[in-house]
Amino acid sequence: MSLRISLLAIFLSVNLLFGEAPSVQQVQPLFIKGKEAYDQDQFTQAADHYEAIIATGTYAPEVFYNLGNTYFRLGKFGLAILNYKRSQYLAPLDSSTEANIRFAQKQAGAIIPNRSVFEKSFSLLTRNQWLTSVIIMYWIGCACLAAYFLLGRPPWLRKLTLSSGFIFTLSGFGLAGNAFFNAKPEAVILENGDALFAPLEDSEKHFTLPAGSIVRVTEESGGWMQVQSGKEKGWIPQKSCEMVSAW
Amino acid sequence: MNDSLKFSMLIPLLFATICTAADIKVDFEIEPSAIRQNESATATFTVHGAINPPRPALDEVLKDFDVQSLGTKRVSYNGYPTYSYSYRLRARKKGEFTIGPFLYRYKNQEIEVPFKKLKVVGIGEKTGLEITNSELLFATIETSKTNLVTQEYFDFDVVLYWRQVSLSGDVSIIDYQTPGLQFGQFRGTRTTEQQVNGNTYFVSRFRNKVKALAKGTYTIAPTVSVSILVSRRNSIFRDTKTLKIAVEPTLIDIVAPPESNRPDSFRGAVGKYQFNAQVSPLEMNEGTPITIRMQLSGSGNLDSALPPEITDEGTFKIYDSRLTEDRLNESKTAGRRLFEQVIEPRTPDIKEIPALEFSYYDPENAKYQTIRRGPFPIIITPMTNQVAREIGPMIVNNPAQKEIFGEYIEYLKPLPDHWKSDAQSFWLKSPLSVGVQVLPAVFAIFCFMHGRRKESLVGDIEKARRLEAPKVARAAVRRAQAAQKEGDPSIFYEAASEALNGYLANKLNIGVGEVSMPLLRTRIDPEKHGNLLNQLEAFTIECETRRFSPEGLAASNPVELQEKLDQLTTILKACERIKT
Repeated sequence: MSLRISLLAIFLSVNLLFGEAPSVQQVQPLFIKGKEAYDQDQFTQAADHYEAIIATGTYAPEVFYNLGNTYFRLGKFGLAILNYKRSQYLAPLDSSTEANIRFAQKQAGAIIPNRSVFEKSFSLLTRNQWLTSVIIMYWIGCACLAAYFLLGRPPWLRKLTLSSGFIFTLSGFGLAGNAFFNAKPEAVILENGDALFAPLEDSEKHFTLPAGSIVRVTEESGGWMQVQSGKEKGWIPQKSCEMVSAW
Repeated sequence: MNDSLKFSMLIPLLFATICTAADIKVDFEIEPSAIRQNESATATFTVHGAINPPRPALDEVLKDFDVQSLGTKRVSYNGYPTYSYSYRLRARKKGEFTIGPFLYRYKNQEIEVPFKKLKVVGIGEKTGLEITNSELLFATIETSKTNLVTQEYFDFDVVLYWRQVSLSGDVSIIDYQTPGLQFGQFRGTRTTEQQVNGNTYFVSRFRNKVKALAKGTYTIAPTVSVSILVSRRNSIFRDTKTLKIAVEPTLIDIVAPPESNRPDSFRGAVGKYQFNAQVSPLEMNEGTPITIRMQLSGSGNLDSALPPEITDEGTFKIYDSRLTEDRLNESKTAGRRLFEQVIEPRTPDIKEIPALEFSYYDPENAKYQTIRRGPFPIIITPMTNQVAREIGPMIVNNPAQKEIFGEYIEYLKPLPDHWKSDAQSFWLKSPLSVGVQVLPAVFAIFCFMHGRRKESLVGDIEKARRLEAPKVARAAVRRAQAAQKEGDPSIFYEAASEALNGYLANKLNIGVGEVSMPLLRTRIDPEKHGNLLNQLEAFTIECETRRFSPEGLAASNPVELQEKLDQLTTILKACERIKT
């Protein structure tokens, strides 16, 4: 009996922590309708359905991915890439999303940022995933350490403890690297536009940013954003781009 | 204790008495007397002639300010200590504030501290402390140009002149930021002497390189903040006083590079430039990419200058140009930048890469200059049997073909298994889950300590037995309690005897059978525990008598057993105090 109660308590706790949002029942039909509309080439309606899902505050990488495809089919490359990037933010290892981003960027003639091997490696997991892995390794490390002391310091357990400590350090390094590379948030240019030298209407054009270009936001000032594309920095109106991560 | 030692101990006491008996003096200063809302003033409360004086109670007096303690400074002059307590004040609102008067209490003395005034003005407003064209201290602006084109750099110097005043070395230029202009860092030069109007002045120059960003007319009106040293009355010490010197504003007129005669290849470079380009390879197989290396050097807005653009997308597949080397001076106004551009001929019929043109505006000669490199002849060897990759034309702006390309994106994802919600926060954000993270560390520390204790007991049998003694006794006492409840004197006395013998054997690290009064008297100090030894002996004899005499057992009753049990626990508690 007590085992049943314990199992129920564990189930409820896990469900509370990781369980699905309460409005899932409400958004699933919208997702299906979006897919049906897309299949019938009714891309505007499909986009409306997917946007309606996001408006409820319930989302999944699949929603952003499908919305990206829909905007792509509507020829709105900026919005397509924005939603692909959001999907990738939630599921960084999805190869379809990466492929579609590349393809959409080529179609849009957008600037493809050169990402270093380190940046790519640290972005393999989201910040929360890195943090979760750090904490899991911390628990495992502490458990190994406790067992090591309790069981009279056996050599095999020493190796296991050191290994878990090493993986813990690696995870911590991953978390720090992720935080470092994402210190400047990513944004996607929605419409073709120019980056200016100064945050002023009559400032000179510095370089062109095609729709769908992915930039890093380095500064914000009164309706303007300073963005970095490669090594170049320029100012664009805030409304001409949107941040990838809204979370 | 001899007399000299007594005397030497008396000296500090005497000194302390003299110091505490003397009258103390306090000073209260606020510098500067006027600030802007985003600036801070320093309040200094100084107590002279007191030993370890208490901090002044300024909470009520400074209630209109955010107060941050800057610490306490103690100096001693001629044996008289001086304590200074400094505070940084930031005003929460504009206005004229009267700070004080207030009372300062030290032992039995009460000293009235006079009030001070502090004026707080808005951000960007003048405080009234600025000095303009003072004969002893003034500043001017010197610029290399006042009429510029956008993206042009110019020298902007603030020159500080002073005589018959001592600067503390703390000089800063403020309020110089101007929209439409991009300032670098001010760098001070070595102080020199200069004759101005027949007087010799010390001169410090603060240099900056400024970039014109947007067209328009701008007024630069910086303020120089300097700290000068002011002598205190009747004191060898000097205070610093901060002064703000307003500088005569300068007008800067910026225009865009002229529209007329502007070459198509102009991409915003302003200054004096050199441009070179190299292409490799010049002979290749079909499908081989070609690298164009372009070097920009000279002086001007090199930090934002871009190389020529290759736009012929019908003939070449064009990749983004890449900055591979960036060797600019500190102010980024001169140096060299190298760019690499990769292109891929779409067909093997292409015979040359078109000429590359780099145009810049030369503000000194007020005209555009164009440097042309190329064309670069190339030879492409066609590949047979369709080995070469096919590179189709770019169709970015061709809506008719977008649909075809749209088919190549990967198809929609199925219904997700897991959904996330804005309402669901990351699991680690809840205070409970953060708090739980302490548990593994605590558990590991506990295990570490437990392991250490266990290890120490393995090598120390005496200690292990000593720690085991109370456990053995408790188990036997429990059995005696049960026997007392059941009214079984035989088991009771056996358990009581076991409790005592077991406890003492473990405590003293001897065999259970070895416990005897003669041995106990050798191991337990009779001077300290004489009474306990007597009690032990009496109780042991009582137990033995009762256990081995049937009359004794028959005469026992529950009340008597309870008394014996209490006696046993008292003896065991007393044994705990025995040091082994």
